[in-house]
Amino acid sequence: MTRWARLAMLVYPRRWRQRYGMELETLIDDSGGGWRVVLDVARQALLMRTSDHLRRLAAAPVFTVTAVLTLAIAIGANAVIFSIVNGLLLRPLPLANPESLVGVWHVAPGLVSGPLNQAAFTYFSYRDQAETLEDIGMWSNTTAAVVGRGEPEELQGLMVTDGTLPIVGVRPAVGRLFTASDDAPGSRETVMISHPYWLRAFQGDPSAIGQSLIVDGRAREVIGVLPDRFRFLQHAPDLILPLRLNRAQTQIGLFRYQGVARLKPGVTIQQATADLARLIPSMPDRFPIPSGFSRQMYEDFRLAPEIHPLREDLSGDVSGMLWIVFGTVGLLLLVACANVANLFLLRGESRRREFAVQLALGSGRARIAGQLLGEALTLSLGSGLLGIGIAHAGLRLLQRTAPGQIPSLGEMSIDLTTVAFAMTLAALASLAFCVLPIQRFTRPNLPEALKENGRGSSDGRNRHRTRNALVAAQVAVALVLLVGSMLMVRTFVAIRGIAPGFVDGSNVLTVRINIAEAVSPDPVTTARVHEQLGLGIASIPGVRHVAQTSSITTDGANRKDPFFVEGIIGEDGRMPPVRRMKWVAPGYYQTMGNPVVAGRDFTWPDIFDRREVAIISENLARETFGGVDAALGRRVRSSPTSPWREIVGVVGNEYDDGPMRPATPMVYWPFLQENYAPSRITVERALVYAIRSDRVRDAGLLRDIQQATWAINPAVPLSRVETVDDVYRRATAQESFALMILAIASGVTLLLAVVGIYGVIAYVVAQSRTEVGIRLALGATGQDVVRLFMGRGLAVVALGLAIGTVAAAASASALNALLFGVDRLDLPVYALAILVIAVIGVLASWLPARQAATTPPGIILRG
Amino acid sequence: MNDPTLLVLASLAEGDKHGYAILTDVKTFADVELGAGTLYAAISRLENRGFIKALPVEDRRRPYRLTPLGRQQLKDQLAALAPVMRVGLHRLKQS
Repeated sequence: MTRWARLAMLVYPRRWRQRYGMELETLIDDSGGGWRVVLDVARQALLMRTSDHLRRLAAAPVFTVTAVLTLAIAIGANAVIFSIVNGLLLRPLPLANPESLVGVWHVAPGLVSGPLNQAAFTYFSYRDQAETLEDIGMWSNTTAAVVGRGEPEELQGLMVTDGTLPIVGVRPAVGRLFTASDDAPGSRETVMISHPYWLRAFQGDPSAIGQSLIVDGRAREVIGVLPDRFRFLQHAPDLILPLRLNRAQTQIGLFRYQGVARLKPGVTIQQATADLARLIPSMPDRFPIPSGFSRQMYEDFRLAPEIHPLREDLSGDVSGMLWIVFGTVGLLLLVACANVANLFLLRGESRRREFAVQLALGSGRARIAGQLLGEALTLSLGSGLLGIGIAHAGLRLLQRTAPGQIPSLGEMSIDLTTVAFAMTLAALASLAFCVLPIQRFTRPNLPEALKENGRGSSDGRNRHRTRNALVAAQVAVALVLLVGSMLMVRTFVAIRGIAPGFVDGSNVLTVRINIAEAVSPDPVTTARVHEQLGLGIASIPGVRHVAQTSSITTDGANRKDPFFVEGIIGEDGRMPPVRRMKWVAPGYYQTMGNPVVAGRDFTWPDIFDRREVAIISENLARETFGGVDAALGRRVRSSPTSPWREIVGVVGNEYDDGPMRPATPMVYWPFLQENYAPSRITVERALVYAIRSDRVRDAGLLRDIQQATWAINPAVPLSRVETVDDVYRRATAQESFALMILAIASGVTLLLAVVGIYGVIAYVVAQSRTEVGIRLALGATGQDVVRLFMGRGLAVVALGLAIGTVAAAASASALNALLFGVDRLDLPVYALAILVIAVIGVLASWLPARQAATTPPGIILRG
Repeated sequence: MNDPTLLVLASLAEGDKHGYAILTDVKTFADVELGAGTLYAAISRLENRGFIKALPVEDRRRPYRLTPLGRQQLKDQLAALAPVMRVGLHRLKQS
């Protein structure tokens, strides 16, 4: 500890250390050190070191407050974003040996663009044969109805293979994890429960282990309780169920699970990718290809593994956006530094005489530099502390207002790393903004320059050159930010103008109802129950329309199958492209407000007679058949062995991947079908009920829905109660968050930059009042003077605008992923931004020039 | 009553002391634990004002002595505190 105290002693001024250092060191040794001693020594040393600087700064309160606030806002904004970037992208995952954990995905460019997840056949092949993996697991999200413990409820669940939890290093709080036998089909059914559910449903009683829990109508033995605050990536499930994949029935296809694996020690991602890729060609030898598909089709997929660090599965798409936001707040700090540098220069001007006297009296240049650096450090470290406070408040505000927009945002805090980052930033900022003042005020010719008082001397010209460079830089940065802000605003406007596949989503309540196979094994009976439930809810006063669907617009469901079109696609033995598919009940489009643009909606006779019918979206109709009417009567299917189904309707487009991506080409099937899967009747058991009503905000509506539902079947739980707007907002949350933060950061930075530009130009003009006075005294008119100074000011602004235009065009390409409905090189945006900055430049030059020009020369020259 | 400079002056009123001796003395008579940094900040202030003076170093420890000016300063400060203490104690007794 005494070593730390000795380190802290280095902060004392050198002379003080020479005088008292030995004694203090002896006293520290005598008193035994300890953190209190270290902190006390550090505090006193800092007080002593900064007291002079603090005194000087306190003597200039306007300068100090302006500079501290400017820097603190910039440091605070950087610290908030850093804490998110650090929590999500930099800090290791809170799992055992996170560096060897990977997400295992696939690509199959012949089947689908973008990533493809895992399938049972790839999982078994990799687990059996991969040489580079310690183990691989698969998982998928689910929900499950639990009855027999209070009211029936639908809980968030996670289905896992037996290796998944050990791979991520989870240890149960009570009981045990799944074994291979739990995961084998035909064995006794088991379940693990979350710590909060254990407390809620079993009052934290350890004897819960071994008890039975009715999950989706089947009794499962509780074998373990997960640790408190257990999270699996961003998921916090209440139930964990074994996947129980049946190897004997596994076929090629059905990519519906996510994969997680642990690499063997020393194995790289490239080596693991090559290892898994080697296994793919032989998979059709180990597992059968579904009837109607061929080995050629499998090869046409061009299936390949895609492995990446597991962290990317947590951060998802948000990482690119976060780096852009981080870059923007970085610019904010740069502009803040430029402004504070300018403030320092202005303040330095008023102290030129003081510095010149010090130099003339033999004071070293290093001493003056040290004085300026000390003041800058004191100022910026104070700003850093205030910035940490601002960051803390800002993060709390984000957590309250945007909890779902960044994964794990709720668990982030301003920790020691962020504090260190903020203080380092503050120290670097102080170096950045005191370089110019030190360079200016420690030059050996300062005393001579003082004699000339800057009138037309080279010193005066240098001074103006420095400030002109500052102005040009600020104009350039301001233009970059203004262009960025305006592109964001255009994106906002474009997003708001889209009809995403529904209208007035705040008046459509959605409720998920799952009728488990154990509750109602027969598919037709299950469809009847769904029909009855729909009718029951429709009879509630205030409910205008009710309809069921397998997925609401933008809810993240992503079920895709091949799309065969009679006579056009998939009849040449090649694999057709996959399309997103939904299973709906009659009245869905009317409930959502999505128009039927040609043909008709499904009817209940379509459902119960199991007619072979389909509906497609307008964009798919145009892409495939060249028009909406041309699609009617054509026949489509999703596998070579299922019957052709006639297109009876074409509906408006749905932006199922969010408004910033193209509308999703969509195929809709009746929710009860025959022969969709080979030779059997299938029903969608879990359906989302869309309920359009004027009573959505009335809590009584949900009670009425519950009563109507339980009057028909008391074992059916309702879950995921939210409006269509809630779903949509959640889906677009990350983009909205990025746009909001960028808009705010750009706005603040722009404001700082504008203030900076105005301040510098106005100061340059004001410094030249003597020149103005002489020109006026020699007969120049006020107009001549205004023209002269505006010309000088505008030349600098024009230079900044030229640099800024190029920089804005270059930096806008980084924003491309966030832009929608506007080109990154949109001419009107650039023209307007240039005009705005130019006007600010004109005003900043004109106002002080005009003031100087209208003042009598005698007064100017005297003053 | 825990102004470090006053405590140091009061301690040195008894006789010459080095840093550690002052710390332990202050702890004994005032029940105040001064930090090493705080003590030397007070010592340097008192020495600059001429209230105490440094004596030659003995085994890396330097004793300090109260100057006449320091003695007067201590008297003045204690005299200023005396009525406050008297009135305060009296009022506490009354309430």
